[in-house]
Amino acid sequence: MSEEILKALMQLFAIIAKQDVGVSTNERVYVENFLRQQLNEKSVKEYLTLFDKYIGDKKASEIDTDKEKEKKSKLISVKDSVKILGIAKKINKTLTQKQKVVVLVRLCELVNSDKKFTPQRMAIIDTAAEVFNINKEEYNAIETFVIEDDFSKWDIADILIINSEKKIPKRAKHIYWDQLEGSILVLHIHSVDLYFLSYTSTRELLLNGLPINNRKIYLFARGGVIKQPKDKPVFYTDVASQFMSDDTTINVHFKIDKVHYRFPNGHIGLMEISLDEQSGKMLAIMGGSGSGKTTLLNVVSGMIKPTRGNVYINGNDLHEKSDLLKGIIGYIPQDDLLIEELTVYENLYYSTKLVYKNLSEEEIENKVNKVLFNLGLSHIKNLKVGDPLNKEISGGQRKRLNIGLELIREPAVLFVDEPTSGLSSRDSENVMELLRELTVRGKLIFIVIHQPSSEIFKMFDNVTILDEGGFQVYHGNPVEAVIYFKKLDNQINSHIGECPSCGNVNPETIFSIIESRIVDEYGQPTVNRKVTPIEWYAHFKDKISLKKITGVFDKLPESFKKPNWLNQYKIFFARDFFSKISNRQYLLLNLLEAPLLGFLLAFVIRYIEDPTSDVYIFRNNDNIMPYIFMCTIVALFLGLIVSAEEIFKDRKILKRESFLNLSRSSYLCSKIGILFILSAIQAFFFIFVGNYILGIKGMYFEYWLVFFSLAAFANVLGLNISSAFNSAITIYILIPFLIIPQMVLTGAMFSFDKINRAIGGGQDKVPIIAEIMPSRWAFEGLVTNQYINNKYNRNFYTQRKLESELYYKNVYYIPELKRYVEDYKFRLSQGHEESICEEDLKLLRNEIVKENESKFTQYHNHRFEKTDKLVPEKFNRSIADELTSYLIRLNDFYRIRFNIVNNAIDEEIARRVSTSKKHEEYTQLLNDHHNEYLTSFVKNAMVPLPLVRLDNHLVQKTDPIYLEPQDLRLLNFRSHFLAPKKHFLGSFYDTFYFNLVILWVFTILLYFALYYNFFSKTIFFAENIIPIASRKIRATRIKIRDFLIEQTGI
Amino acid sequence: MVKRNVSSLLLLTGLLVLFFVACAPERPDDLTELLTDDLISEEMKMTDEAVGQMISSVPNPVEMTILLQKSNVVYSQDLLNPSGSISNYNTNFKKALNLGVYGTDLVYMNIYDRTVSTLSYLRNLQNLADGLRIGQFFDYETLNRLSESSRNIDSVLYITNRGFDNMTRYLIDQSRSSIAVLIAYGTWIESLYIATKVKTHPPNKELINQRIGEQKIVLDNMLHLLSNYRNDPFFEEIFLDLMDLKKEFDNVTISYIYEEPVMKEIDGKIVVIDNSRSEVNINDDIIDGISKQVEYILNKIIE
Amino acid sequence: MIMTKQLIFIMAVATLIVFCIPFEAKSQCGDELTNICHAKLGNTRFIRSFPVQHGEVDRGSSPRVTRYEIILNRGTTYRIFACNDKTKPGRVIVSLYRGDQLIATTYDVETGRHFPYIEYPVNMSGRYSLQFMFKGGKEGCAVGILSTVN
Repeated sequence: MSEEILKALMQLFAIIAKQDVGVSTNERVYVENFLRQQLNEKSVKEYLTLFDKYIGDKKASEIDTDKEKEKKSKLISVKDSVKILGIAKKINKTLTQKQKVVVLVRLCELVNSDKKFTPQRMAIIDTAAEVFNINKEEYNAIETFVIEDDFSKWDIADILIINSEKKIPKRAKHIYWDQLEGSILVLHIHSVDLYFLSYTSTRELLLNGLPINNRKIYLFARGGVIKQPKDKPVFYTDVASQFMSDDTTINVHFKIDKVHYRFPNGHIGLMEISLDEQSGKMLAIMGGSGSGKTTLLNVVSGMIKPTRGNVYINGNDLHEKSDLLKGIIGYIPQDDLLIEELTVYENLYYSTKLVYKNLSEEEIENKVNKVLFNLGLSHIKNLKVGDPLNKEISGGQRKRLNIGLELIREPAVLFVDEPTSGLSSRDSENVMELLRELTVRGKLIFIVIHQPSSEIFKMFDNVTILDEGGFQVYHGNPVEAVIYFKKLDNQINSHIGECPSCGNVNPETIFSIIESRIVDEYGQPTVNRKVTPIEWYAHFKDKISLKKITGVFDKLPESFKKPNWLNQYKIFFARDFFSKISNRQYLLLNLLEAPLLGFLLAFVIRYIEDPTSDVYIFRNNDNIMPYIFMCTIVALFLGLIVSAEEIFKDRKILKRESFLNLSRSSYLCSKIGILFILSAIQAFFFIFVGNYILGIKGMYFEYWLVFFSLAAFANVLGLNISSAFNSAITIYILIPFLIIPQMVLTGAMFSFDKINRAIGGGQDKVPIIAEIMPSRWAFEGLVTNQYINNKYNRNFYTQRKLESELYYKNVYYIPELKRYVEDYKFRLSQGHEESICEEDLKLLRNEIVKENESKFTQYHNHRFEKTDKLVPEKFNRSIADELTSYLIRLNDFYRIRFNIVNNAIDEEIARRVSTSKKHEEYTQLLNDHHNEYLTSFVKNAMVPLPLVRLDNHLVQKTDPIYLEPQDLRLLNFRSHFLAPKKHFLGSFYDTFYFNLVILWVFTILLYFALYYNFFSKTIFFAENIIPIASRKIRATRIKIRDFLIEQTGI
Repeated sequence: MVKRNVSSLLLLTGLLVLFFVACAPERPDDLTELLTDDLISEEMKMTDEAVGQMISSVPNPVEMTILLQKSNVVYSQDLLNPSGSISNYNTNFKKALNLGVYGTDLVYMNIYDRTVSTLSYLRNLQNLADGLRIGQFFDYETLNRLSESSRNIDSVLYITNRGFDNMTRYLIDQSRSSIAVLIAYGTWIESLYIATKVKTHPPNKELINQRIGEQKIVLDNMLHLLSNYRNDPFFEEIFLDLMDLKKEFDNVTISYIYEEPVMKEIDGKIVVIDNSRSEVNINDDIIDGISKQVEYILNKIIE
Repeated sequence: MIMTKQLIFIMAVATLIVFCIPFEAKSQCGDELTNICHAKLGNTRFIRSFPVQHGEVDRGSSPRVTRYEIILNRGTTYRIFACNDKTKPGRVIVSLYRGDQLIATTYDVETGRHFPYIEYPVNMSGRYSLQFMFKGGKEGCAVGILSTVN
């Protein structure tokens, strides 16, 4: 309580106390005790003094006459009423409703301490109650509770009486406690969900471990325990359950029928487990390690399908109708499923949004707050969850929050895996209390638990014990379990289940019996067990029959109206977005990485060729082409690293959310959305900085587009590996394998002409292995774009292309064809009859046919009509001569046209440099936009041979940037490296855009691989192929052998 | 779920199609006129052959440079065209002229054994030749390697000269003889420039001056060659400049004494004994005048 | 049986080789010839090359002549080499003229001998010309090299 409030309360107490005859000793003692409960010694004295001060001026009036006193008291109470009103209003503004109720109760208590219920005093309290907006009925209940001694007056629905009486007032609630002396009264204030407690007798009674003073009113809070020594305690939940009417839970009959499970590698997980449970019960699943507890949980919660046997919920098979039934099942795994960067409130908030479709923001807020309240987490709702190493909230609080995430859905059946592991005993009890309360409200809860304390063990309605190998060795009441095993073990004192003097049931006893080992002659335990699991199992089947549950059970509700795809997407997106934003380190690193890298790279490679000059000239920077290459590699790296861990991090959360039947594609798309945004930003920074420093003018958008597309591809690739592997390290080890091949096969570091022929090097098209490297597509797109579309070259490109085509034909192509013919003629002149190879003829034929159909033919109209004669049988000297003159005519055409085009270009340039000013401008244009090294790269200037023979074709190797794609088959889209255009389905497309589209096609394909879990399925198959295959082989062999035996009778 | 994926697939396909449509339009090649214009004339063909015959008379820079070297002329880098100027040569005209200029510079450097400096000049030659689409004639790899070892200067010169010869012949074959003429002209002017600028003392000075005077003969041939292209304003300009140089050379007189040459066989080879003589009449003033005009011409070429 | 098969196989391969891989001496016309000729230069300095290629002349017509103008300088001794492509029938004849006056030639009509080069110490600077033709108008390929004696 704050200072202000305490002061106000002191005033209030004083005003009440000094009414009529003034403050009595009891009353003062009451105030003192009240202060003592909440403050230290020094402050108690302070406030007491204050109280006395407020009372103070009254003492003087004790000497007044009775009559005067009466008059004065009336007068005084009027003045005081005003004061009271003022104080009450002040309190109203600052205290919560709960706190106000508590204040009211304390006021009543004050009055009750001396039993002076004068009208004035009651009037004051009335005023307070009114101002505090406490409703009439509750106020009456409080009054009755505090003041009334008469048993019969406690006939109010809000009161619970705990005693050994059989007869109680009609409307009051009752818990029978035969060992109790006197009565415990509990008052429930419904509007603020508070319980007040008082005890009529003076016998020893403990509340939360501390003795209760009779006639004092205590707050009975969640988790509270009332105990008599040596007696069964009364829990808060027991009390609360009396007042609760939770009708939102459906009545469920859960039946596990001979469930049997075998692992993919052949081991048995569960051996014919059966049990029957219904709502309102809490069941423990216990066993040593390797007994199959978690497996059982997984099977009965619907996550794994049993090899044999069924699980029924209200008659419906869980694994058949999983969609229908998953809505009423909640699963809380042992691990944390919290998003560590978000607050407690936010974690619940997003979970809620995912579950409910049509709630308004306000409704969601209410729901979340309600759950927080029920979990006792309201006070920490704005704390970040943090990771287990950087604790912001305690382990117990984390656990409760985990439970809360499931509670949002209000499932009827809960499966909890080791809720108390790693928690302190206090936290453990808290958590179990919470679960108990849920049970009381009507849920059915299965809990896997290990080494519970005696208190917790006794909380369970039933316990199932499993032994090694998945054998069920007990099912029934926990306390009786001890008896059962002791009996079986023929121990003395077997009929005593509990330790009579201490009330403890030791579950460890059970396990020590089950797992006890044979001792050898020296008294040392051996490896062998006294009783094997199978034997326990046999006993179980023999001695224990499971109670069958009958009765009519509710029809199951329709599955949740979950939000539609778009809303799910928005929720996932918002959740991920805010989680990332709140992680400052992550954000900073990822956003700064790109511009820093860009700066580093560009700065280092920005060099000036002329050692005597200080002026940077773009044209002479040989590093521009390598820079473009590095852009692609950086894009891949950034994209992969940002996404590699994404799904892996989320996998537990995904497991849990699999119960919600949410759309996987909306989850994936939200992830992709976030990553794309990040990639886009990184691309922007990198390109902006890098290109600027290196003086790559214009085309920022094109560079950005390619960088982003490549990073986007890497994002989806990263998501794929993130969802396929089971550890973070594996994922990171994989990254070099994904990046290095792309580096090598981009076409920048190693020319495709100079790589191993076995994988496709040196041919007329990009090697197939490089066709699946997105980095290559990106690089090619950027380089061709940079060359063709820069401000300088775009004025000349079409003419230069024509010039190059004519040049190639004139200088290399036609002379080469001529050579074949001349060689033939020469050999002929030397006297060989058959002087030409069939292969050579084929080549000539192919090329002449192609030449006939070339786009130039319409301009020169020379055709070689006798292509059919270019076969060994028909080829002769005269054909050769005709061929030669045809080729000479072609050569002339190309030579002349080349000169014309060359001159035309030259004239254009001359025009642009005609004055010295224009010359300067032209030189500037050249310096700023044209790059010498890039030019020689795209023209393949270093190629050893301009023209090579490939089977029976001639392939142009020089000037690839001016060469159109040669393979024009309809479905073919492959061409040589650095082609300016690509061909597909009969049309030509700019390489830049075509390559970009291909990149996105890759990305989309990977998305589908992601959606259908292609990679994880492949890995699973690869990992398990050996045991699965060997088993199948063995089975087949056995079948064959049996068949043979049958047939042959051997 | 499947419906969702099908629809997203459709959406994506739609985007792709949009992409294609947006980028499909091919740039029309309106270069048809370049491919159809009829610009051949018979006259040019004749000129090509004639040019081919005459162009071999433009002296090789080797002869002049050897003479300078023998005359103990000191090497001077300043006389050469700076390597960096190449970025100013954008038109075929400029490229061809300066290809010749740099060619002479390269020979000069090689004869004086300045092989280190030749690298950037070789690169320039390659660059200019590529620009003129005649880059296939220089085996730059070999030249480079050879330059590194001084004993192979002869091989270097051989390869360089042969390269220029082949280039010239190719250009003429390809009906681009104007380029060949420009290259030859550039070569010649640069040699003449170097010769007129070097500092010498008698008696070497006399020899050099005589050789300079003898260039009068070359000049006439040069004019003849250039006159073929006078319809081109750029050619016209250098033609006129050369005419101005001719005026200077008109001050030089060469006298001839004719004798009958005799052909003799000695040791399996033919040796000619010829007592015909020529005398060049030239003085320093004339040299000065020539030098100034040559410098003027050259500066215009290399700017 | 097996022997025959092997034999046939070998023959098939041999035929293929014979017809597809020319093993006859390749024509040396062009740069190759220049290189070969250059090797004969000895101590002289290469100035210029003059490749010549003529086809066979029709019977009755006069042989084809290729002319090149050169300028020779006083005080220099020149050598003019002539090299033939031996795969062709024609043998080259190189003649040096001053204007219309013949100064020297590599072919002695009387003896029918071809000389490898002409050596010419020059005292008169001026225009000269080289003329190339092939004996008998036959088809030929040759190169002439102008060089200076150190």
